[in-house]
Amino acid sequence: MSAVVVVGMNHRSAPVALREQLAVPAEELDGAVRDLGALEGAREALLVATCNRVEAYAAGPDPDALARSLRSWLARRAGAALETYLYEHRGEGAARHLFRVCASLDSIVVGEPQILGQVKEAHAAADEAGTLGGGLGRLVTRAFQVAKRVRTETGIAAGQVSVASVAVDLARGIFGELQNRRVLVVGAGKMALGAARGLQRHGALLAVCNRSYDRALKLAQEHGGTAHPLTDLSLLVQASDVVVCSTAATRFVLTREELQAAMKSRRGRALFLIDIAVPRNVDPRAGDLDSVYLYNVDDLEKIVGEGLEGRSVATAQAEAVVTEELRLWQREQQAQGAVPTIAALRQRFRATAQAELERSLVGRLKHLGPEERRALEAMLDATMNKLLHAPTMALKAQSEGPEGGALATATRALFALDDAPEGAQGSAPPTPEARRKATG
Amino acid sequence: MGTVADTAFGVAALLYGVAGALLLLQLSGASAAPWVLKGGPRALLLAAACHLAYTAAEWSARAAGPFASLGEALSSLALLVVLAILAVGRSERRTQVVGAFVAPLVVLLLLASRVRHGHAPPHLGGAILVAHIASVTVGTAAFSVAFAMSVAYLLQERQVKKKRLGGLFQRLPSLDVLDRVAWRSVAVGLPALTLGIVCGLFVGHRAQTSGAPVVTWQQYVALGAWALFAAVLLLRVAAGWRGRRAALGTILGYLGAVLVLVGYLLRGDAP
Repeated sequence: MSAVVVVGMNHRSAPVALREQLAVPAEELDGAVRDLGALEGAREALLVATCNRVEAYAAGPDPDALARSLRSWLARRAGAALETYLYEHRGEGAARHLFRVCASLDSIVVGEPQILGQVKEAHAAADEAGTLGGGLGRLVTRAFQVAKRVRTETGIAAGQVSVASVAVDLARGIFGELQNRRVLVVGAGKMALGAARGLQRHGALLAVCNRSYDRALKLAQEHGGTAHPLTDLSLLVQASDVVVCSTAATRFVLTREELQAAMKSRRGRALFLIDIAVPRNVDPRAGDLDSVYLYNVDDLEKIVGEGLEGRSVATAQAEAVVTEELRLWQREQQAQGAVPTIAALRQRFRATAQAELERSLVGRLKHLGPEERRALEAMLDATMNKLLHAPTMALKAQSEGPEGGALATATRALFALDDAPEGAQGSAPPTPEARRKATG
Repeated sequence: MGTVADTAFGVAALLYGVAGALLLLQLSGASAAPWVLKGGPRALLLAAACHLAYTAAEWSARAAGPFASLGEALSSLALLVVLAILAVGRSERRTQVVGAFVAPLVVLLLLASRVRHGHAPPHLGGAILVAHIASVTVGTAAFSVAFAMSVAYLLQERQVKKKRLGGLFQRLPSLDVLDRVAWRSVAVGLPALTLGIVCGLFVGHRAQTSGAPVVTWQQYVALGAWALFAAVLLLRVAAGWRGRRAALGTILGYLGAVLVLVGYLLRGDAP
């Protein structure tokens, strides 16, 4: 029976400099997965390659040999020794890993939705290349179902994850669409620019205001905005919808009085102020003004924290879903595992009965006519089915339990199912009928 | 009243109740099940269709227009409010959830319309009375939408000011949308109410057979409400009063309008 093995590296196990050596462009994915599927001992293959992970999955009868092949295949592609950066999972571990990857539990930002789409693309490429079958192929499809269940039943996809996303969420709660809204960045802090860029991605227009005009100009050019000197601040605030402050000033850059005057000029239009600076740049009393919404770094981090807290509960729920699904998957696999034993047992009984019947029909029972011979065959069939019913049910039932393999092993030993049958030249595979009865 | 109209009325009232309950479930965050999220707006739409059928059946059976009397006007008011909410919901994101605030009012209006079912007194009839009722109904419908948006605005603003970005914040429309829809609704409602008041003065004059004109408290309150709505519009344009102040003014004005309506409902001699 085939075992699934995964060998790969991700954002935790390897630096980006190494991961980028294994990067697989979308147009090369088909060829790469074909190459992977052609590895010795690999019956099935799948290659998941994103900016945060490169993972080679394969299924085959010898997991040790398969793992070695996957490691050397990855090293060949990278053109470097990767041993210390690679992780490896087999069987149940590989299934759990794939479930977690698809459910976005293994992502940098837990709950992000892109990874599922990326694995689906990998699945489509492998399907196209014909490297998926009933083992790994079914596991991947099951992983998609697990991911869907996780997203539906837990809050993993909800909540805030960064200051920038909080800023965007808040701005949308105040202004709705952000298209052509004016965002002013006062100072040159990275977090402030990050928040502004988040708003910019939603169509907002960026203006940068700095004590050093040259610095403002440089940032504006880098981020596609306009540059202004700090002396224009009052006018800029009047014209802006969102102001993000992060200067190194030790006094308030915007006082309550200045903002009150600005609000008069703005004729009551809402103003969203994000003060990321420490010490603060905006007088906290300004938050009491009508239509002024002031958030400082503590407020933002509290919201981010709440999002992460909520997410940690959701993450625990998601892990529980993965564990439950993994148990179900294992039970199904074990039930599938009993099938070859049942089929071989039926085949052994049938072959023995057939051999005895033929011996009798050419000996003492040679006087029987065709009708009697058919009746005798039918009687033997019925007797065999009745005798095998209880062992078949026991094998199926036990295979779903923790000791699943024990009874199958005992059965194979008791009836010497792995040896060639008496009088046979070799161990013939079970007939399709025997296999059908075993699975039915 | 015919069976068709009765049935349509009953189904509409029931569906308004269901829509209100579903929208409230959605707004409160008690359930985020897809059938709740989709069910509210759909039930509201279906209820409006039944309501429309009821109005048409009534119109054809009684040969009385949708503004022939206070009863008909109340039913038309309820229908107009729902149609306005549905129309706004098509162009502005998440505004249909605000229907949760107006659904109870709509059910009450619909039930009240059956209590005050009947024709206007013959001596008060005529085009001027119909114009009065129609204008006031359209105005009140617009103010009902403005009221719902203003209540939602105050709730949403509280979330933003208190820095609570939880479920209610996520489910309500943005402050800008709520403020804009409320303002536009008042802008539609005020001219209609003005026309209604002017027509009402003519109707009152016709009804006054002798002696000095009698001014009722409802008329004072109606004028007060009109003044509040006018102030909301004027101050917005002249002094930039928008957002919270405009929402409070709209809510106060609407409460005045409702008071007038209740006053007329309780008066036995209203048309």
